[in-house]
Amino acid sequence: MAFATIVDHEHARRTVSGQAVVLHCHHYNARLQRAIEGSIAVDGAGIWRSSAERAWVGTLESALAGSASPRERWEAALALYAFLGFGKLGVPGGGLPDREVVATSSHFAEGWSARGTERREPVCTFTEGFLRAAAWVALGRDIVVHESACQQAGAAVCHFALTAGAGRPLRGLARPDTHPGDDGRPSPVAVRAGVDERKIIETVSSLPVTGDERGLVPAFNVFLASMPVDFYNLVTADYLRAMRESGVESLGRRLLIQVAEICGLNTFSGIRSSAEWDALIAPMCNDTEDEMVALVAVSNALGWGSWQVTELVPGESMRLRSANGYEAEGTLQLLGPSPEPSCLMLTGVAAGLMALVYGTGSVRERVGQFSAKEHRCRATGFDACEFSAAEAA
Amino acid sequence: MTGVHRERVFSCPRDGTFKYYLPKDQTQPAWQRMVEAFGPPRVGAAGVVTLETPSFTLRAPSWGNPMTLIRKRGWRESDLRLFHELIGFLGDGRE
Repeated sequence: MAFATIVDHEHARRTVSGQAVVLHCHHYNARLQRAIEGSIAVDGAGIWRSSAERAWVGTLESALAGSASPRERWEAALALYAFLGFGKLGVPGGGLPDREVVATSSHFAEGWSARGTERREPVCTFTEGFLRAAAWVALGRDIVVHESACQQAGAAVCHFALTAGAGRPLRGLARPDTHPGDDGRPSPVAVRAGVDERKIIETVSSLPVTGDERGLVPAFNVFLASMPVDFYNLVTADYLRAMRESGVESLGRRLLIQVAEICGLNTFSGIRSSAEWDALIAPMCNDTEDEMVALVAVSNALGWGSWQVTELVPGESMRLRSANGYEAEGTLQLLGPSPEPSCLMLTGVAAGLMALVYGTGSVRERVGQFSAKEHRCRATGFDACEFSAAEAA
Repeated sequence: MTGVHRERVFSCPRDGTFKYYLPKDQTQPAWQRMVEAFGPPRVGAAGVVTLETPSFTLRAPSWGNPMTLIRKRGWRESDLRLFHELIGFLGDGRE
């Protein structure tokens, strides 16, 4: 089965088999997992795994429609997993899964290994969730999946042990007929005349971002993966709910913003030093302000929704406006109107971008040099989300 | 001194990623030697040139410079030394 990514330039959206996906890199995904699974107040691994199960059920039901036999459906599920950049899975000896599945490559193991050996236990919780969803959607089987060996812990391949589940049905998200973000329209504001944002967005969007022979997407000096957007929204909503029930929601929000800030630093540092940047974007940029606008334009190609720099005071502050960010849209879909701004990822990335372009020292030393705030959010009733980032007090 | 220098690239798939900058007149001869040693590169989206070897991935814009060397799992020191010889990098003592 062949898959294709459809890119909607106007809304800065990406879809595969009718399901919205967003691109994030191994740094962000591994750090987000570390933050959530490392929160001792909640069952972070359980939240991570169940969010993956639910997100993948919806994604796979859509993607596998039309595949007739169980074998076709199972193989299509693994092919989609590799196409999106999460790695290569297989059953030893081929055929349908019985007791074991192996991964010869893993986006999450790559993400964690980039951080060294700080965690030696298995890290592929996300894959456990995927496999349970795949067995349910493709084969109608409820299974329990346990990663018994992981590349991050030194194994040559990741091993997943499968056992029969209790027959509990898996359900994806119940989707409304309309997506709130579909009404959001970008309003480009040219703050730097030399940088052709539209050209950057269209060019970067057109780059083929699909898994290679390892099912990985090495691009822009990072490993990218096209994540079902439902996963990020589910894991964020469930994590913050659990943290709220433990009385530490504000800590959870700060943690997610910081993860995104570090993502902004690392991901866009990788992008800015990549061969793709040298080839496509560097020739358009005359100074660091041009680079900032270009970096934000690149992020519009990642499917996060349309956002632009609306004001930039070099070295001091920046304002951004997002017309249809996936976090606000997801909050409205999952939880309804929110009393608080919901775009924690974009907030953190805004601070990270300022620190990357105007901060000093190593990437690590720049964390916290700038802070950001979301002043208006679609989830709280405004027609667009607005952010400001400035030097931290 | 060949004029080839390198800068550390952070936030990469692997630790120890460097960008190598070659003088203009040395770029094509260096690529010629790379192709003879490792085979032809692949030209991908945006004209980015990618050369895969068992130990590393080498990436560059279509004009071949700068070259970004990303190490793979299980990379070997001997392959890195060979790469440095092929592009004329004499070393700067940093790792």
